[in-house]
Order: sequence, then C-alpha cells, then structure tokens
Amino acid sequence: MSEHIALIWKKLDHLARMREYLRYSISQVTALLPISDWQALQADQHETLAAFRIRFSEYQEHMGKTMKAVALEEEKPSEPFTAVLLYMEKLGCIASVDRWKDIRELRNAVNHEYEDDPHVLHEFFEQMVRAAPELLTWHDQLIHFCQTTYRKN
Amino acid sequence: MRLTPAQIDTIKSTAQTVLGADVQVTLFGSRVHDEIKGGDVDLYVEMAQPDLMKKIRCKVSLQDQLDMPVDLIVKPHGDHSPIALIAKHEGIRL
Repeated sequence: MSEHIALIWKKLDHLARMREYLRYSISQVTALLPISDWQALQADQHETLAAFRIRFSEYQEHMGKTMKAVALEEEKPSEPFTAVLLYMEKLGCIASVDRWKDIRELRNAVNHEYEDDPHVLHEFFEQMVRAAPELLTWHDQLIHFCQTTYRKN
Repeated sequence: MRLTPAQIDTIKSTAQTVLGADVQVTLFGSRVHDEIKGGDVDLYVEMAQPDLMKKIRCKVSLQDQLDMPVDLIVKPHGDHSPIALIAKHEGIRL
C-alpha cells in the first residue's frame, strides 16, 4: 500500500469517528426540534445545537478533504474543488455537485446568522437535520469506492 | 455601478429562475460605488414567501457563475428591517 493510500485510509478512519459524534448530535437535536421558544432554551440545549452545527460542518469539511485525496490518487483534477465534486458525482459518491454546495452553504450561513431571527434559525436546523443523512450516505458511498479500489493492508 | 451588463443579466436571470419570475433585485453595498475597488456583490431581493433553500441555491449559483463572493439578502415584500431600508435607500434596482 502506498503512503498516499494509507493516508486516505487514515482520513476515512477519522471520518468514521466524526460520523459517530455527528449521529449522536443528530439524535440530540432531533429531540429538541421543533423549537417554539428560543428564549426558553437552557444552556445545555444551546450547547447541543452548537455541537451539532460544528460536527455537521467539520464532517462535511473532512469528507471533502478525503474526496480530494481520492481525486489526487486517481490523478484527476483537484482544483478548483468543483472538479473534485464533479469526479465524485461521476463515481456516484455524491448525489450532485449542486446539492453538496447547497449543504455547504447552509452550514456557512447558519454560522453567519446564528443570532438572528428565530424562525430563520429554526429553518436552518430543520434543513441541516434533513441534510445530515445525505452526508452519511455519501460517506458510505465513498467508503465503498475505497474498499473496492484500494487494499487496506 | 461596478457590474458588467453580462453580470447584471446573469444576476437577474438566475434570481428569476430560482426565486420567481416577479422578483426585483437591488444591488447595494460597495459595488454601487465606482470609486471603490473589490468587494462582495451585495444583493437585496424581496419576494412573497422567502424560502431558505431557494435562497441558498440562488446564492451558490450566482457565486459559481460570477466567480465572486455574493451576499444575498431575501426578505418578504415591504420589509422594514435596517438592512432592507439601507438596500432600498442606497441601492440600485437591476
């Protein structure tokens, strides 16, 4: 196994750990929704929302880095990042480039607008909870590609 | 205003396709001013029922096409928030 393929497996192992943290956060946030009164939220509930937001963001970020490493290994273009996404779409690892970018923008926007309108904030979390299983599925598809393409030992 | 006619066409057609045929788009912020350099493209749009995912689709699509950072504000018709008042007062309708 080349050093670079070993690095891809290391990234996938890390992604698997992040996945478990995210799955836990999804269950915690799902139990909180719908939130009718944001003012009434306790500190630990705000912490639950914050943890979900961060884990969701970091999971997609790290998945993107792993995808880039795969593109490099396969000697495909890796810049701009859209080239990586187009390759992943072709492999069937992601549903579409547009959907990946929309989810990425969703988590950028929630970080930006965190203290604003409660209705908008609620919609952000609803949409992120809806998008999270898509990320998990894309992760599974990335693992499948790597398992069928690279030997782990 | 520091946008080319082609960029204005892209903005208007994308907003109408994604957000609805009747939307009005206003450019505000630094790109209204000819003497300033650089800066994001700040856009203000009013529509009957703002939709988060449509807004995000519109923003991502504009950034891809223009290859520039876009800040897109979408509010309901007749909004009187501070950002709406600034955009309506200082902006240029495209």
